[in-house]
Amino acid sequence: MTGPSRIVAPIRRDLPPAIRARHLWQRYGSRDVLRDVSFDVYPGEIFGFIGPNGAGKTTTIRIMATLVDPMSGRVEIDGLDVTMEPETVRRRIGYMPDHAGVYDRITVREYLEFFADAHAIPSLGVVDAVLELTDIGHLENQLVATMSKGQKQRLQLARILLHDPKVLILDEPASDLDPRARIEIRELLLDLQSLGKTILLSSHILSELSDVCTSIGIIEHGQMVVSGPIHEIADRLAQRKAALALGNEPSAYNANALGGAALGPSLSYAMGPSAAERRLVKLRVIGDLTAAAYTLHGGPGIFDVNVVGRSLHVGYGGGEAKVAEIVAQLVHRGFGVIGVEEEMRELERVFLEATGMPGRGGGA
Amino acid sequence: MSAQTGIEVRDGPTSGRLRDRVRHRVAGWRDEPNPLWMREMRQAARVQVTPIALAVLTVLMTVLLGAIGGIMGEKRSSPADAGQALFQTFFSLAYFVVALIGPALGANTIASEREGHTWEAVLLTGMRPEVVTRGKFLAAYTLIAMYIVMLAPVGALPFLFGGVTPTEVLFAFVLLFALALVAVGFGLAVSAKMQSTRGALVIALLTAVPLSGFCFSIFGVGGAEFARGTWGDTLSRGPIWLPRAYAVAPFNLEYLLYLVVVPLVVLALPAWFLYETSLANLTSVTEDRSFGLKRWHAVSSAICALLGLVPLAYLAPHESTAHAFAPAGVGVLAYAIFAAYLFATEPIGASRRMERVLEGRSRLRRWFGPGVPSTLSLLRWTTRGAVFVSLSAALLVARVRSSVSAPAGFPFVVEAACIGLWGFYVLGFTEFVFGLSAWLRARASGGAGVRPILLAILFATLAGPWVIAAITGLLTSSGSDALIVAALSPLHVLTHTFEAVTRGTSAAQRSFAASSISAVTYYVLGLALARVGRRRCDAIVTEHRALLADADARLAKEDEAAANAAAANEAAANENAEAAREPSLGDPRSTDRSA
Repeated sequence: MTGPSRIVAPIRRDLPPAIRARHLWQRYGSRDVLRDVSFDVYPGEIFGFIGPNGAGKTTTIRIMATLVDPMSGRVEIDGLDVTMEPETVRRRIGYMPDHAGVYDRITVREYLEFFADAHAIPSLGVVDAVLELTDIGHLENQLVATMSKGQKQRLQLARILLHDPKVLILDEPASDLDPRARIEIRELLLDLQSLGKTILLSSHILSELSDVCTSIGIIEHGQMVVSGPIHEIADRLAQRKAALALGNEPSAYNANALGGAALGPSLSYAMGPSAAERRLVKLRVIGDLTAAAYTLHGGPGIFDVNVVGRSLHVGYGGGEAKVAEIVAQLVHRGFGVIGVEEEMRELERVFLEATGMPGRGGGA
Repeated sequence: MSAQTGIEVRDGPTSGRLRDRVRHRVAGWRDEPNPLWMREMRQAARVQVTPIALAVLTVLMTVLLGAIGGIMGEKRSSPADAGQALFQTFFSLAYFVVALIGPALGANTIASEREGHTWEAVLLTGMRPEVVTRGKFLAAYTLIAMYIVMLAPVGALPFLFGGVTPTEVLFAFVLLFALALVAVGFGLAVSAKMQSTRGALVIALLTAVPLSGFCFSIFGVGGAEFARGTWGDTLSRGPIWLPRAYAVAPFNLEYLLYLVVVPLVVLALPAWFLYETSLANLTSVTEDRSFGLKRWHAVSSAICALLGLVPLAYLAPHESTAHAFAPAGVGVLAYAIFAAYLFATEPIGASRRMERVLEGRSRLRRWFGPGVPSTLSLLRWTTRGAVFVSLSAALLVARVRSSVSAPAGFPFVVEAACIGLWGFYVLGFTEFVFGLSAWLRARASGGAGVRPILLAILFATLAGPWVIAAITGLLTSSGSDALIVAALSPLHVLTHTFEAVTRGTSAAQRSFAASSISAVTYYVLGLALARVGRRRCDAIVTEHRALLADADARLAKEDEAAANAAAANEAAANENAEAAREPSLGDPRSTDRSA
């Protein structure tokens, strides 16, 4: 793993999207599983496909992976229609399904050699290359059956990298993994992004995605609620909130008006003001924590103040200027502030705001 | 290059000559074997149960043969008789071992991939269904071949006793290997359809147990009787008669027909069918999954029609040509019902992708392509061809026989009437079967319920008239007239009309007329159903195309709007950049510079 020395490849929004889903509809029996789902993923992006179980993530992904034909709509991978040119698309994608199986009674190397042959890869060295890239070279002669879940996931990633696909589609890649394995997978994904791969990964666990995704798509009940870069969505939500506060119609602040990614119909939900406005900062303060808490309590824009261990947890509304104001206030009153840590809950906040679920936990 | 073998394969043949191309192909098979086969063999090598199972089976067979040999010795039978008894026992048991283990091994192949969630990974490698089918088949066939090879030393024991020649033993083993092709193919075809290994195993074995017993009775016990009648007692000594027949039967036309053509057809046609069925079930529904099966259908319907003519060649002078023609008609009828059942779930029309693929192809290829209308046309014309060939041949034989031996047989007019009626009835009824199938498919949204409904209607058509006739006969106590109701069933022609016409009874005219009317009714009804079904399919396809065109237009419009917006943004950006670069008139510095 490259770790800190990783060079992140630029996201090319000036290029045509690597994945383009347009007006997808799918029905199973009498149930509409997908309803007009559209989104774009640009080259070099890590796109988090978020939604609760049964929202339509896997169906969308299976359409992208050429395993299911949509009833209506189109998916283009690298400019190719997946329905019309599935063989070519298969050469350009690496798909790792949810709960993918492995062949237990062969070794890691034999497993990869089989898939290298199945892909008709002309080079023998490719197996060594992916073993090294996914950091499982030391396991090459180990039987697959004896590997841990995390190692098996890495093996799956090695498998889908054999034919050097441009686009990686990963359905719940970190589900059922222990924390260490999750971190390893996350690091591996960032490595792959640095190699220029476009990655779409689905999950219903937000914490899995928050550190790696450059853009997201939130799907619920078969409809795309919102999609685009996380910061753009957050900005648009903030603008929308401001518009609501001024009594404007939310429809005036649609995707086109705000530029960039699309807002789905679910934005007409009533948003949770508390979830939208509230942020949390952890302050490490020298001195009497209770006195410091009293100093801040009831101040403008401050919702609550709690003493947790040796820190103050301050719930506030506003941006970074407000944090600076809080720190200045404490220093002014003679408290030493030795640490400021803003809680990283941007994705959870966006999710809650976009799906209109105030007061509910981020991880579904 | 094969990663699994580590051997580098040359890119292509050294020249375009046939010899070089064949050499290259053989080198490819040797140096770059099927990846699935290689992987399965590597996995199988680590299964510890297989050698134990092989050893146990071999020991059991050895003990059994030893016991039989001992009993024969106690009875003071000659060594030759003991050898023959051991030969018959061993290969009868080996037949059942292959007929039951083969399907079980085949059933474990593709279903296990689906159950283990590895199937999609295999599918997305881009391997064609043909390659997957061959790889899985080779893996299962290698295992069953191991069973046969392990049994070989035990199978050679009878030869030591005498009464059996080495050639017979060799032929018997060759036949076992040939049987294994069909047995594994059957398991594979079941496996290709199923999602779970257990389900595939249960269905494969539940079918294989009665089917293997049935085949043993027909081709073993029944075949031995036939061989006794054809070549005499010395040839056939039990159900394992074919190896001896190959070794000692005189080489003539009968040898070619019964020992080469018929066994080849009996093994090759089912094996090909099972292969194409597996392929169809591994192919996506939006592709042309039934192309291979249609090819098989075209060939097998022709072969079946020709085989149906064989009884005409063996007619005794006193026998009726019409009666000899009857099995050919029954064969065509049964085969048509099977074909209608087989293609009952055909897609309404070709998918968009397949339409594009077939655009530049020949008319013949498109005729074999997907869609109810083309399938209906294929079924109708192949069956019409089979009926025409059979009918013409039967009429020709009847004509020749009447001119050669008129006093001994029936008059040509009678023969021609019976043959013509039966031929037309078969034609009418098959038209009805295909029309009904197309109409049902056009009505069903997903095609799921078509097969059971089709079978139910056909069963009612074949058996129902007899039930009604029986009830009517019982109620009116006028059996022979009541049976005219049964003319709606094709079997009535064979059981009553033929009899009445050839004997010239008073009911002949009524029976003939009733059968003719039924045949015409079926024909007209079949044409009408086919027409309605085809129209509905055309309407569905047209509607679907319109929807796709509409969606395309919407997407194109969106693309155009996006392109226009991007161009406008770019123009605005350029304008701004230009404006920023241009010197402002109010700026004194710029005025100075311009001055």
